[in-house]
Amino acid sequence: METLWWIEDSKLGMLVSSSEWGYPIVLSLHALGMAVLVGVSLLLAMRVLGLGKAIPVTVLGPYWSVAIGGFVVNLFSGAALFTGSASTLFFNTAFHIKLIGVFIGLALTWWLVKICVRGNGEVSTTHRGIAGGSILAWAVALVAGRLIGYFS
Amino acid sequence: METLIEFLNSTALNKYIMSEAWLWPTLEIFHFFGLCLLLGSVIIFDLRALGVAREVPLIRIETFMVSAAVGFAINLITGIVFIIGDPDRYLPNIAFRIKMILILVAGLNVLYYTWRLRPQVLRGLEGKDLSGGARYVAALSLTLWTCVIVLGRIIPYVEK
Repeated sequence: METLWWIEDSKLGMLVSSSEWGYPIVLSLHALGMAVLVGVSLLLAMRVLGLGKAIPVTVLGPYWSVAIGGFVVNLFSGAALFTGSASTLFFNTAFHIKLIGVFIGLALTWWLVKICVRGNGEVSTTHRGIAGGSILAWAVALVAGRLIGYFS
Repeated sequence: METLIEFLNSTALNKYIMSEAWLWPTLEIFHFFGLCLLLGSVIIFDLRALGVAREVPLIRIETFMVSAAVGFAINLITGIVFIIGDPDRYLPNIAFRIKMILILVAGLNVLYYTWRLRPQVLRGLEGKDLSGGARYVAALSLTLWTCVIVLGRIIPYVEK
């Protein structure tokens, strides 16, 4: 608890929670990063599940780097948002579920890219299973993330 | 504007939206899902037009315009419900107004693509063979949708 208060009182924590534009700017970056990461990940998974069959899955590899870019933005903007309300977020159930959802979504999408998008071009039942799982995980992360504010 | 706000506030739908506590967060979740779908699709299509994943013909990538349209439709519907539910919050808001204008410009950008560029894409033209500023259209689209997301997110923070 002491540590959480110390984080909130840090320079960054105060900038996010108490300055006029700190919070909206970091929040906007977080929304953008989400759109890039979740948007691209969802579409990669949807392609594996059958959307746009005329497009070979293997040409979509470069887009994974774009999604990673979104993740990096959100890792930093998310960490900054956490410093602004550490003592409440740490105990927020929706926040815990969101972190688990993001972790699983990221792991499954990365795995899908590794064995399917960067594979030999064939799409197997396993690939479709991973794709479906990743969509589910991203949905959980998105729902829980949106509900954080309603849980506090 | 005042009359419109008053009218929306008097509708049955307005009362309903505001009386159901679960409805607003549910709509927000769909609005966020829709924006992911829209921006993800736009990224794939526009970056392709700017030179990523050149191996695949532009016309095939157009499939992702369907998911973009689905994302946009979800957000158009949920967005309209937000406005009916809380018109005082949105209609006078400066970030909301600029956001609406930029969405309109993005729509004109799509129309321009359909009118000027799509016929060439259908004939199989690519990259430098496309006349009419394909790269500018793609870059403008990415910029506009990025600004739309940021403006939407800051609506609550620019209230007077």
